Amino acid sequence: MKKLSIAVKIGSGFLLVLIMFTVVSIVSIQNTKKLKENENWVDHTNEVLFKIENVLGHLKDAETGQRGFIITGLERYLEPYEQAIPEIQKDVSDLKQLTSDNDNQQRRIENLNTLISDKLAELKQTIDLRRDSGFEAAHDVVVTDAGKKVMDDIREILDSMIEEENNLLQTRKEVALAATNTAKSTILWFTIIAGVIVILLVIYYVRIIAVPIKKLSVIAKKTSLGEITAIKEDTNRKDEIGVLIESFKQMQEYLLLKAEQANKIAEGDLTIEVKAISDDDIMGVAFTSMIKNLRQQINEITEGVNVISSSSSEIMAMVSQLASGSAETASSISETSSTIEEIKQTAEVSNQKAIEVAESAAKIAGVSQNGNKAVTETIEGMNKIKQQMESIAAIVIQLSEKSIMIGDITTAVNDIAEQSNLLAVNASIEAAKAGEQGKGFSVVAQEIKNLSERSKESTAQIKTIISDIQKEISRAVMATEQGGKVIDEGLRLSSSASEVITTLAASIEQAAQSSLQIAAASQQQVVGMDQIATAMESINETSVQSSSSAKQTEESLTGLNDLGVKLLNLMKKYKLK
Amino acid sequence: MKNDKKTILKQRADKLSISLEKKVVSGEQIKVLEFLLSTEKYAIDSTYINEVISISEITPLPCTPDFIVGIINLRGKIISVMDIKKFLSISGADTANIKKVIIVKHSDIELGIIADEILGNSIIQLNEIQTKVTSITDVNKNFITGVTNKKLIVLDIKELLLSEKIIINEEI
Repeated sequence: MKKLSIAVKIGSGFLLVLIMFTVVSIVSIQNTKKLKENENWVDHTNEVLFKIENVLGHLKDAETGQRGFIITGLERYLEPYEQAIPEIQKDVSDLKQLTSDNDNQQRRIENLNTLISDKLAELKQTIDLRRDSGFEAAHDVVVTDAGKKVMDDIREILDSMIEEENNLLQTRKEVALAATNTAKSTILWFTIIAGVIVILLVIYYVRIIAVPIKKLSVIAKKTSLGEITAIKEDTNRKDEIGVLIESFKQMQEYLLLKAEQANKIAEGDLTIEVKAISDDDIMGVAFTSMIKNLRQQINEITEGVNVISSSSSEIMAMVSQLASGSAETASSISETSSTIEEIKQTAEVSNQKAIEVAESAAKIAGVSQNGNKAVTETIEGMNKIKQQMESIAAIVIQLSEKSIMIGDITTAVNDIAEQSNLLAVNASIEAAKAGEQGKGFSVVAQEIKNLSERSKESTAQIKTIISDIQKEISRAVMATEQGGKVIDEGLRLSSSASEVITTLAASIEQAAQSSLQIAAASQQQVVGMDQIATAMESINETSVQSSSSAKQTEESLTGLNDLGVKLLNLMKKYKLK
Repeated sequence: MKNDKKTILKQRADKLSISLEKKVVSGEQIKVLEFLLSTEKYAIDSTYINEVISISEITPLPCTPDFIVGIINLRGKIISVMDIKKFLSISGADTANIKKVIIVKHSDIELGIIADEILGNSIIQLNEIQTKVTSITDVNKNFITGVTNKKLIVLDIKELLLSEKIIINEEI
């Protein structure tokens, strides 16, 4: 039994129960078939009885119609007789067919047929007599009692037939009852036996399957909660339960091994070697890679912790800088806030100014038209001035020529004066040679000399004056030339001024539109500045918070630094190869 | 205007009256012609002077010393012209185109002396002439009579004309 598998055990039990129930259902089906047959025979008997009653009834109807006609002589009393004649024929043939399996009844029906023919003949005779010969003849025939005697024979045969059928019915009922009783007892006994077998099977299965599984499930539940309890079940069983228990024991051993390895890892001993039992050994593979990764990670963490401890001291320095920086930021923010307030006021002023500029631009547009007109007039005036300048230049050139002529004349006069001087000197020399007589002459010579000197002085003065005049004239010529150029320049400038003014008018129009846009924009700017001011307040709060946060961070960093040292100490506990 | 004219006339009268006073005061006196060489005033005794002329063209002569400027034609007479500044080693720029030439004569020697400016005739007292002046160089000492108190250098033209230096006898 112990070597059979659970599947065979369960299968054979259920096969036994199936056989029992098959027997019960065969018995039931056969019994039901018998009952059905019996019922059909009962129905058949009842139909035969009904037909017999019908034959008698119709015979009575025919007799009744004959009697009515005989008594009255009226044709209408023959109606029941005429209706009953075909019915009687039909009923007798049906009856013959129904009782074809019973020889006794067939013989009786032969007799009955003869008797019915006799009766019908008697009836027909009497009816014909009455119709042909009148009441007395018919009456005489009737009172012979021949008809009555036939009728009584018919009654007798029919009664015997009824009795025969009733006996048959009784026999069949008894047979049916006996079959039913047998079936009942058979079904009852088989059901009882099947129930007992089922109960026994259930007990057996509970013992060999449910109980060990229950125990295993309790242990599995404990195992799932981490408690590993040893299994005391015997391991002689070779079926599925035995295999399950064995596997469970192996699993527990495996778990205990892994727990031991995990314990070592937990203690920081990473020198242990874990080998996976197979490629499908998930935990083994996981433990192998875990140890490998842990070694690598701990190396990396150690490096990281070193970096953290050095970094945290750097961060501390940076945070203290940050703290001072945030203080500076706070002061900068307050300066910015005041600056924003100033900008806001400026924006308001610029808004106002932009509106004023728009108004001014409209005025300037009018002014520029006047300016254009004025420039046109200026151009006309410039042209007149140019003509005047040209005539002045001609006059000045004439003056220059005249002054040159004067210069030539004065040179001649100077020469004359020079000569006069020399003549005076010579005269004076001659006078000296003449002695006393020459004294008066020497006075005259002196006077001539004086005159010539005065002439020289005058000519010198005239020369200087003329040279001055020449300089002035050349300056005047240059001035007129420059004036001409200036006027040309002025003409050019005033025509370009006209263009400029036209362009300016267009520009002013644009400027007016632009200034309106500026007004709108500066309005938005004012709104924006308000928003910035609010934002700056929140920034100020934030900076105060960040300042305090920096201090807190500094404190926290001290803790972090300590933590780094602790971490370093912790990492030293790990044993690596 | 009347006042101006009056003052001018008064000044003129004063000048004339001073010259008369001098004449009254004078003892032994000579008449000289005053002229300018550069910025210095020189004087020559009027008795040696023939006349003063103004001339624009001087014909240069070859094979003559530096101080001989050239020759001129004066009314048919050929007269040599001397630059007395170079002769007396007086520094100064070259004279203008139109040159005043003083024609001097002594015992048939006629010579033209170039002057920068002719100042006019004047009378000087002989006792006013100081003969011993240290500033005058030894070379030229022979040709200078002396210096008056008005810094007028009086040339001894007679000595100059008779000096051996002026006699041109150069052989080429």
